[in-house]
Order: sequence, then C-alpha cells, then structure tokens
Amino acid sequence: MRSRLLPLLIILMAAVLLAFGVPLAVSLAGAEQQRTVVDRIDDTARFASLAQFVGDAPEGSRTTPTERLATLRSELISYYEVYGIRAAVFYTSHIPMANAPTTWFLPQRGEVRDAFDEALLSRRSHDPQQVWPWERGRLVVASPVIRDGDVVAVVVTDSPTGPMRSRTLHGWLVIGAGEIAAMLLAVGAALRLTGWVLTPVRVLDATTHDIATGRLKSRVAPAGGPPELQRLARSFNEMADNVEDVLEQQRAFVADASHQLRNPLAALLLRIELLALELPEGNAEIASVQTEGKRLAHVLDDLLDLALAEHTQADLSVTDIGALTAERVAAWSPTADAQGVGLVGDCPPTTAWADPVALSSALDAVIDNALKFTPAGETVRVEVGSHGAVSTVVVADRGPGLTDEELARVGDRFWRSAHHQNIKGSGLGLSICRALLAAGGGTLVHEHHEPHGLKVTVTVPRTAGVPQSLTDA
Amino acid sequence: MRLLLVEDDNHVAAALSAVLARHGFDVTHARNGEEALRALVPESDGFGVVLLDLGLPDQDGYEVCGKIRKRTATPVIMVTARSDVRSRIHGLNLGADDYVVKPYDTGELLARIHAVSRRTVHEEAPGSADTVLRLGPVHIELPTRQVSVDGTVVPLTRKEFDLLALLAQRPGVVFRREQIISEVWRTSWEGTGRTLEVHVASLRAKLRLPTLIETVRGVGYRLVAPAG
Repeated sequence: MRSRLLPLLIILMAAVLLAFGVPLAVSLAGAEQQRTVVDRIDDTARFASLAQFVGDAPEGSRTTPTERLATLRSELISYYEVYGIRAAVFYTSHIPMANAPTTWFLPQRGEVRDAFDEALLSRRSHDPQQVWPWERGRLVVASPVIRDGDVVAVVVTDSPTGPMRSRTLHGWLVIGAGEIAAMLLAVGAALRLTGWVLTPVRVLDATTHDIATGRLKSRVAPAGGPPELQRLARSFNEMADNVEDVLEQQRAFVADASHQLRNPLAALLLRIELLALELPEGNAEIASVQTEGKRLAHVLDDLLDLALAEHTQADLSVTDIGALTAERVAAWSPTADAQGVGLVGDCPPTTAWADPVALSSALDAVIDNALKFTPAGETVRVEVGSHGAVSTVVVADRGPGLTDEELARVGDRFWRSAHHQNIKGSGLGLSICRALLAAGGGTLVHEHHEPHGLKVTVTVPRTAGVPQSLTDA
Repeated sequence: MRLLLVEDDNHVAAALSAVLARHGFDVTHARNGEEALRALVPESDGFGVVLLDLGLPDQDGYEVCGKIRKRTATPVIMVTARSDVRSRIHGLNLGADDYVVKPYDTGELLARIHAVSRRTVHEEAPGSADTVLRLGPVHIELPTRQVSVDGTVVPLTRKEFDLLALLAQRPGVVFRREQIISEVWRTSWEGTGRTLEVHVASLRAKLRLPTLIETVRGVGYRLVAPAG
C-alpha cells in the first residue's frame, strides 16, 4: 500500500508545485522583459526628443541643428559604449540621421525592420516578442520622432538580451530551488503520512494473523494513526473479544453438557446394573446394554477432553521428539503384538518446540488409529525427521486407507469413515489431537500411503516463534 | 458396613443406594453438606466409608470434605462428575482417600470402597484384636490359620481358609465374584468362577453350616453371622 500511496502523494504534490511554479517562472520572465522594454522606451523617447529638432530648429533655440546632431551622435555613441546597445535614428527614407555604431544601417528585413515599419505608423513598440533565457534573440524597441504631427524619423534601439536573460535565469533558479525544497518537504511529509496511516494497518494485520492462527488472546495495541483506523482497531478488539467469548461459551457449553449428562448417565448405568442382578447371569442383552452405556460415557469423556484441549495453553519447551516418539512406539508395541501388527519406529534424536504431554497424547491417538485399521501381518511405520524449520513425525499404516473425499473430512468432529462406523471410538480422537497440536503451533496432515493405507504427518515447529509457512499451512 | 452417600441428585442416589444395598451395604443418604455433617456427628457406630459428590446445593463439596476430615477419620471417596486432573488432585489434597468420576463402573466403585475401608481397618487395629474373628460358633484364628466350629477344629485347605477369612472381614457385606477371585486366587481370569463355586460348596460342607455363606445372585457371596 505504501508503494501506491507514496507515488500518488508525490505526483500530486509535484503537479501542484508545477502548477504554481510554471506561471510564476513565465511571469517572472515577462516582468523582467517588461522592465527592459520600459527602460528602452524611455531611452528611445529621450533620443526621439533629441532627434526631433535636428535639421529644423524650433523658434528661439539657442543651438543650431548641426550642434544638436552632434549632441545626438555623441549621446548615441556613449550609450552604445556604456550599455552595448545599438541605437540609431533613421529618417523615413531609411537613411540614418545618426547611428552608433556607425556601421549599423537599417536592414531590409528582420526584427529591426519590423519595429521600424511599425514606428513609421507612429506606434511605439510596446510588446516585443518574449525572449526566453535559452534564446539568443535581441530586443528591438523603436520610437517615432514626430514633428508637427508627422513622423520624420524613427529611433531604433537594438539591445542584446544577455543581462536580461541571465537575470531571468537567476530568478528561475531561485524559484527552482524553492520548488525542490518544497518537494523534499512534501516527500518527507508524505512518508510520515503514509507511515502514520499504515502503522495501525500493519498492527491490525499482525493481530488478525495471530487470531487466525489460534492465538485468540491477541489484541490490537493502540498505534495512533487516523481516527478512523483507531476506531477500526477498537472495533476489531471488540470483535475479537466477542469471538473469544463465543468460542469460550461454546467450549463451556460442551464441557457443561458433558458434565451435566454424567449424573443421568450414572443413574442409568446403575439401574441397568440392578436389572442385570435380577437377570440370570451371562445374559447377552444386558451385557450389550451395559457396553452401550459405557460407550456413551466414553463419548462424554472425549467431548470433555476436546473442550479442555481447545482451552489449554500449551506448555512449550525444547523437546527431543525422537526419544518421545520412541517411548510412544514402545508403549504401543504390546498392543501391536497382540494384534499381530508390526510396529516399527525410526526415531533419530530430533529437537522440536512442543508440549511433550500434548504431543504424546496426539501421537497416541494417531498410532492407536493406525493400529486399529491395519490388518494382522502388515506393518505400521513411525518415522521422525526434520525439514527446515519444522520437525515431523510420520505414521504410515497399511490399512484400507481413505478416499480423497474422506481425506478432506478426516479430523472433523464426530466424523468417522462410513466403512469404520462399527470400530470402537467416538470420532473425536483426531479433533482432540488437532486441538492439542494447534495450541503449540503444530499441524496434523493426512495423505494417501501408496499403494494402500494412510500416512499421517504430525508437524511441529523446531524453534520458538512459529514460522509463517507452518501456520499458513 | 454402613456407607454415607452424599449426593444431591435423587435419581443417582436412589439407583446407587439400591445397587449398594444389593451388595450388602447399609446406605444412609444425605442430600447436602449440612445433612452429611449432621449424620457424622454421633460417632456411635461410625460409617465405614463416605461417598461424597462435589456438586452439592448448599456448600462446596471440597469444603464438606475438609470438614469431614476434621471431624472423623472415616475414609472419603469423592464421586463426582468433575473429571479433570486438577479437580482430582485438589480433592485428594483436601483429604479424600479416593476419587471416582461419574459415570463409574459399579465393580470399580465397589473395589475402591473395599480398598479404602481395608486400609483404615488395618490402621485402626494393627494386628491385635482382629487376629481372632468370632462369628457365632465359628472362630477364625488368623495367625495360626485355624478355624473351629463350636470348639472343634475344622481342617481347611489354603484357598478355603483365605476365602473364609476374606468373607469374615466384613460379615454381611457382599463380595463380588471378581473381587474374591482377585484376592484369593490373585488373578483376574474369569475362568476361575467354577473353582470359586467348588470352594464355597466345600466350605459349606466342612463347616456344616450351609447358611453361613450366602449366595447373592448375580453379585457374589457374603457371610451371614449365625445367631448364637
């Protein structure tokens, strides 16, 4: 989000700065040129007034036309020498009255000629074309010399634009520097802004992930940010509280229900016992009624176990799951022997970050299942290994296995394969197992074991701090 | 043997009382902690075992257990629906002698009742008064393993003596078949059932007291002390 938000803010800021900067630069150049033009107009006006009476002296003049022409000439020459601006007075017949430098004549065409022609029509050049700093154009200002209402001559100045252009450029540099400073400021502000907006989003994301992976106690810490996001964080916490409460209620309900069912069930079993005392010994019906009652009690126990397993805080420590698995395999060996099923363990020392008690219970459930479904003469293999950030215990049996559809459902509460409805069990074992593992960041995966059978992989993290890939799995 | 059953659920209490009565126990039912403590006050002929439910209406079952412990040494078995390990540990720490979770197997409950009462009997009488058991005309000398009826010594086999001595520990109380087999033959094998019947029959014949050992159908046997 930052990579989108930040360029957007910067582009917007740049557009705003450009929108202000370009007209400012243009008007600066314009103003600079205007100043020069006004300056020249003043000069041409002065020259025009000098040239006005060259040749035909006004009444009572103390100077002769020749003297005035000399004055004009010297003025023009000094003007040219001081400022480097070519200046000349041309008669309407294009013949120069006075010019500086003296080699400068009225050209046949060009800017100077245009200005001259315009001035002939007794118009002063007000608005010569804008000369930009990157152009080398000259600035021509012409002014008519009017005597008795007629244009008798034209004063033309042709100034180099160098100084003006450098002044404009200087002004532009100042503007540019200002813009860059403003841009840097804007980028800094944008960074701060995106950080301010995104920090609570990041915190929220981390917390959501925590909750999604079972750490229901996670809450969003206040991390500042916009009021809307703070409100969102508060709402999120309320929601998380609510979800936790609901789950807690559900757990409590399961626990209470199985607890409350115990009294009636106890009474029922006792009554059955009394009935059994009345009947002749070895009555098959009453024996199976008692068995059913005990099965019901077993389901209640499992339900309560599940509710407790989902509630447990895992007591995690560095555990040698190799030794632990070997111990479980040894514990189940007599059962396997009794069933004529081979039970082989390959348990090299392997460290893992797990709750030994919970992992033992989970392995018991998995091995119990594997032995239950493996026919005599076949073998159940238990292998411990480590793969990168995780350690695994793989229990592979040679039983009938499960179909793809069944694989998707295995581990659901009370789910039992349609083929195994009559095998002892409540259908809660794997749910308990999964809940026990989940408390420590572990997972339980069922796969096909080719050519037939089921492969169950118990995965636990190797070190504290649950790796991302594991919790996402 | 007298049992005090502390249980608020009348259905459970009635069923359990009936089952226990069938096994020869004399059951007194208390519906709450107050009643239970009142029943325990007159220490005339004390209760053998207290079966205590933890979910009582008036006070916490653990509290009742603590009070019973202060008042008397009667063994307490907690019989409760609370199955978690912490509850069990707490109960045992408070002075309960055993802990059974509902719904229980009747055989197991009875075995536990016998187990805790056996322990307390041995503690109360360390091998002095109880060395000779007198049941009317029958005298059983435990150290010498001699049994006499009206002064006449009756020779018994080892198993016959063990069987008689076991039943004589608690006259009136029914011993379940599996319990007798466990204690006398030291096995849980059900096939010993016939052997048990043979031994009972031979005991009845040797002692010439056919009514001494009574068969309780479906349950087991008990000793009925003959009058006189």
